[in-house]
Amino acid sequence: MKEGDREAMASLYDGHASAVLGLLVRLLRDRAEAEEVLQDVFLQAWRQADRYQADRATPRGWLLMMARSRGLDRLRSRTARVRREEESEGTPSSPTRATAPEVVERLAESERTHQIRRALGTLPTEQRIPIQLAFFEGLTHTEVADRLAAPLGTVKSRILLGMRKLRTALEPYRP
Amino acid sequence: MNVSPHDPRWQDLLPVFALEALEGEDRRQLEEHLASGCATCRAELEELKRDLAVLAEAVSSVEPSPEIRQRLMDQLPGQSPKIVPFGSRLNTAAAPSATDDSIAAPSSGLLSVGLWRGLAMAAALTGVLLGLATFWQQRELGAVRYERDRLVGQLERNHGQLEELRSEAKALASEVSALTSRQARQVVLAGLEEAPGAKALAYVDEVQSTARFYAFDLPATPSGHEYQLWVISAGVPASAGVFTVEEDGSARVEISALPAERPIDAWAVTIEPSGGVPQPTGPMVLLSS
Ligand SMILES: [Zn+2]
Repeated sequence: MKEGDREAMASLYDGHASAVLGLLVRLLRDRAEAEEVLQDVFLQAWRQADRYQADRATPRGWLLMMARSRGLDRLRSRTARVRREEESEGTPSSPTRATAPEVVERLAESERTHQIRRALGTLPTEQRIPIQLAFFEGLTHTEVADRLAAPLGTVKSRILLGMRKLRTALEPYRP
Repeated sequence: MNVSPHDPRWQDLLPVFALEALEGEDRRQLEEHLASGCATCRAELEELKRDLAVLAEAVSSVEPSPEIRQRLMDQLPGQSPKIVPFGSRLNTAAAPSATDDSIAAPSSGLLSVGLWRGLAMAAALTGVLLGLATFWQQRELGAVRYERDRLVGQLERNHGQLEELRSEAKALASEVSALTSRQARQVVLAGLEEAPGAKALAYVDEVQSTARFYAFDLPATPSGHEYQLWVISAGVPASAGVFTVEEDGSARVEISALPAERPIDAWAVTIEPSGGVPQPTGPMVLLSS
């Protein structure tokens, strides 16, 4: 591989690693584990760069979706173990929260991030919350239903309605 | 495999499926239906994945530890990734799993196709990353830089404003304390013939020998002239400063050292040549009662 591609990789990392780590920390709630997966994600990007399709996702979106898949695998493979631990301890383990992003990091977040966040914010809360729980925290629809103390069917239909609204709201930001 | 009949029910489940949140029998059946090749559902799933790839960008950043970058770069092969036979590739740690190709449908039926295509195109990898990175990176960097500059500019402006507000607040606070201090004595000045609508107030702190003077509804002075404030003790006027008025006819004068030897009998304002004069010469416009 050309040296140029290593440089490209470095610049891809510099541009998106903090967003990818942000997603992983949110999903896994464990910084050390999230950083492990972060490396895997970029190695995967290195191997699969040819699969990237610019009309389907931005590089950041592409990386984030890979990160989500890998993070979700981790999350679900450990879920049973964590549950057992929680049950034996009697108290749920408190999630390790990501340190609040520094002001400087916030500055680096692009206008685009803010706009996408704003678009998400336009959803009614009852539709937004289940989508956020499933997407960013990796909950299954039964877990979402449990968390919100809502019937399964209700959760499904709220996600359906929410995703429809989201499509309109996110339309300007799709590649 | 025959395409299993499309049912609108699938479309209702697709969003939950795309979120990888669907479980149980629903998930199994939908996967089967997708694998059978329903074009409607596959197309919708693609669309949902696109939406989610955008939504993912809403996440807050967390800065990675600096050593991660070096560790990653060290792990990158120096040469093109070797194209290994299909079968053996599957058994290596580097083999993409079913969830790797997250943009594509997570149906296992697509896996082999995606993997084959990936391997076939690996030879053409060179430059793909570079192109990908440079195009979007430049675009995003531009946006980020613009945003950063905008925010930094805003911060600087806010900082300036903050300083201004701070000193204003400080001034106000000291004014308020002067106005409300027990020693403050209030002197009222009324407009004379030259400016019948004008009025003024002086708050005199006799202990500190300081005063604040506020005038209102004064006409602008003729060019080359300013107002001059006088304090009169035992019939002798002493200058307490010159001032001009704002557009609204108001003015404010701070007097840091009043003549302390003798009590002040009266306050007055005259129109004088710019810079003021030792003794009043011009018409008097305000006089204390
Ligand atoms: Zn279908």
